[in-house]
Amino acid sequence: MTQELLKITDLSVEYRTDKETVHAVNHINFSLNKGETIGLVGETGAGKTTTALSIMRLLPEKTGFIPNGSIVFEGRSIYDLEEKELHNIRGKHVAMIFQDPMTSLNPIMTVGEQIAEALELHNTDHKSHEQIQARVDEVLSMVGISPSRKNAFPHQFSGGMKQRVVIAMALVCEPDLLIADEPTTALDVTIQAQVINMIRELRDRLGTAMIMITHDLGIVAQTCDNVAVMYAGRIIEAGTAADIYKGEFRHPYTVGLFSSIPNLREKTARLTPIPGLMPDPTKLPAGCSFAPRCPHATELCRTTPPAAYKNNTHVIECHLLEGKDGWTKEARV
Amino acid sequence: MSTKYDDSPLMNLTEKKVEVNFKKESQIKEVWRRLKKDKLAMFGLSVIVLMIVIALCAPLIRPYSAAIKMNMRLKLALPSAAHWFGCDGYGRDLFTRCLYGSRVSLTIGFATAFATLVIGSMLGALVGYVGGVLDDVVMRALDIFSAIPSTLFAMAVVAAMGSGIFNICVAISLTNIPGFVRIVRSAVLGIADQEYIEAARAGGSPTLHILLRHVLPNAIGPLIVQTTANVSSMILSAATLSFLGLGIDPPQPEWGALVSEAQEFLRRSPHLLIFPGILICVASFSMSVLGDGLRDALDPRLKS
Amino acid sequence: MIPIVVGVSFLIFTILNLIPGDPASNILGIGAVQADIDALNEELGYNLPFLQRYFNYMYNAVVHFDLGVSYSTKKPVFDEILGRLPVSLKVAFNAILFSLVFGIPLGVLSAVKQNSLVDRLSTGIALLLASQPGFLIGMILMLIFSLRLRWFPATGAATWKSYVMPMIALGLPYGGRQLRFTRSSMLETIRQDYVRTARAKGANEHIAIWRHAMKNALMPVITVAGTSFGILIGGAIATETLFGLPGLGSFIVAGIKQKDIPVVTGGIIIFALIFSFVILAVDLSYAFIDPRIKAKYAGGGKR
Repeated sequence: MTQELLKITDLSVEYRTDKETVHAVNHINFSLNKGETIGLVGETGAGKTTTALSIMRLLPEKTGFIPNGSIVFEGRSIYDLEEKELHNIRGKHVAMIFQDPMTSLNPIMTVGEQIAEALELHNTDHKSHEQIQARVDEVLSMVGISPSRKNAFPHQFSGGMKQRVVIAMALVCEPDLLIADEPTTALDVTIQAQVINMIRELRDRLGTAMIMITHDLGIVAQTCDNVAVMYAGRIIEAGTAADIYKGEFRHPYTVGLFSSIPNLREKTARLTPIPGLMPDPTKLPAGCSFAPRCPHATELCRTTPPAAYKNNTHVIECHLLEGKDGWTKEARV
Repeated sequence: MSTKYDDSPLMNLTEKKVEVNFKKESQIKEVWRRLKKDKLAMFGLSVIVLMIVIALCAPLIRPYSAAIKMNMRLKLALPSAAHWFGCDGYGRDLFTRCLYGSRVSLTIGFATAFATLVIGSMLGALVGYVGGVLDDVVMRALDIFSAIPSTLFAMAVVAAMGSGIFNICVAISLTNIPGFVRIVRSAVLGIADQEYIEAARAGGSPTLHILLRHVLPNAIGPLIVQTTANVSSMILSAATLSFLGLGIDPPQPEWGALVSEAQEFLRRSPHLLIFPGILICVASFSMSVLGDGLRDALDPRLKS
Repeated sequence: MIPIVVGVSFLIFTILNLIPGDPASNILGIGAVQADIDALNEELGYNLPFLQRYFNYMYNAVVHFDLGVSYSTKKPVFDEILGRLPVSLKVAFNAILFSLVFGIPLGVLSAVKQNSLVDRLSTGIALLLASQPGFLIGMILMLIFSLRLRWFPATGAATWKSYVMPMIALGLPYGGRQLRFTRSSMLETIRQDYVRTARAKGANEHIAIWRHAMKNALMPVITVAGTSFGILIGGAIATETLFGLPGLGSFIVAGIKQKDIPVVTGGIIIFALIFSFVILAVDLSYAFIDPRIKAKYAGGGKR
């Protein structure tokens, strides 16, 4: 039985409007095995959410297009599925939790009803009403909410509690893959830790694979087996957590990301952010997309897009790795 | 006022330099550009402008006397070369009546809309700025005004003051002032607490100056939209009042009055209804479409 | 609500008090003897100070349901109004029903099929209709369906047929407004995150739209329908007059022309009262439908 759960090959996603085309995702590849967690890291606008939405086939109908690439989930191509099969997979095999819990829940339905709906939509084994309610109670307890609150409305919960409801709703059918899009960004820092811990525990208990989308390297360190760093729609670095956090070489952008975090142990006068902004996705630069902001950029970087350099599990797209020991050059997709 | 990002030598051509420009002129141009794209709105605008121009030039086209000169031999005449729209029940040339009727209707619409804009805004600014008891009293009064359907209220005022153009204008304006008061008041309240207002005050800026420079830009969008909507609704209110016989005094022509006059002869002489009817229909539609277009142009986020 | 009703009555009373002429002259007519006029005025309390007259009026209205006597028909105003109110209510109610049936489904359809031919056509027509005065549409209907085709009677309130054209005339502009508002409300709701959540759970379009989007979208539509009732009343008056329906609206209009102050005062106050009731009812219904508001009233509130 193959272990591979999700395989994304050469995926590009564009948003096309009358005025312009936004190249949100450009030729990315990654795969995920059962039970694994991969962290998708990057700044706002890097293409992380777009990637997630395309896995679920939730891109906006009129503007979202996939010019090339494939997404294969559990051996089946997502974009070749019939509507019915797609609706079957959504919620039951792949689930997603979104960034803002305030708006993710329907304000005029009770939380119990919304969680139950997830079960009812996939009720192939014809559970009775009581069985469904029992399961709702069960999953609410699992996320630390008393089942007696299931008839309450979303506005009666705080942000952190709402997000827990969202998580309960996502996990109630025990999906094989959970996509968490910045699940704690909208929450207080103190609540963030609680929610992350809870997600981790549930994942361990249920054996769910997870794509954790975040810009917070701390969260990645706590939860992820593998990491993929996205910039301007490309995965510029990927590897195991050890590779990224402790590896000898890193992509200059990744270095920048780490340096941007204030260090509790060192005393510094100023923080070192990465200067500049991500390039305009409607007008991507000719060479390496990070070159304009890279402290080590050379003429080559500005003119030629770099190939991927691979060292065991670690892959980095950067010219600086040319000729380095242990790093083999691979064709750029 | 422009904002530039980090000046480090690594800055390059690929990121956009964002210059935030608060100059009003470019904002107006931007709004106009967006409005131009809305073909329907531009159609509405051209129609209205055309109507206004024709109404203004009315005396050059036909003398007013032709609108009231009766000639029983021409009673209910159908449209012809001499009488483009035909004649009404008293043999009066319908085209001229419609022409001067437009003058009346459009004047009422625009004049009252403008008057309510000015009065309502001033009152709203005053109330918002001063606040306190004045605010409570005025808002209560506005609530009471809003509780009476506008046509009814206008009817009451006309009943008290009698008919005639000026009285209708007063009657209709009173019902629309609350809308403007609320808009300006909320714009004032919206920024009154802001720190830059305190800074301006501390710097010695007089109240009027503050109101004009800070409050006005906030409120101007909704005010424009509301004014356009008001022109349209006021023309209709005036027409309704005239239709009911409570509006202008005969023999003065006005669209609503013309439609009312058509009722008696409706079966045999539908032209009496059709021509003024088309004018009302087209004018209202154009104003509405223009109003919609302006609203979308002023805040594209509201557009679907 | 009560202070507003009081305020309204005071306002109307004051305004109408400005009408020149005293009640006795109007009642007794031209050619009456001055002495009789003075005597009747005294009797009617015309010489009392303004405020006292107001209080007397209100007291009579609330306690005795006495709104005075019509100058022209010499009958109690209250009875006259009561006799004519059903007609007006029928017209208004029919119109609202028509507009909802016509406006809401088309609005939803247009939103779901945004920018399609159906959408563009219906929004165009809705805009056209919404900007027209009821009496104009009414007259056109009258021309075609009464005078030419003879399907419906032009005037009078003889049978149910008499109510059809007024319903359409009044309901079309109102319906156009409903359509546009429903459409924009739906469009906004469809964009909401929770609709996306529903899809992510595996809901098909049908469920996502009907169960999640629509209920949320319709709430503001109902509010707007209620508050637009005021515009409806205005249109109803003209419609009644046009179609010769013996309703309260046409009664008031006639009263104004005849300077029949008790009729006009009583009539407008009653209309305003009804309007306030409708707004109140809409507000209350909102409390039932929207759990967030219900919680506020019940004391649940936000955490």
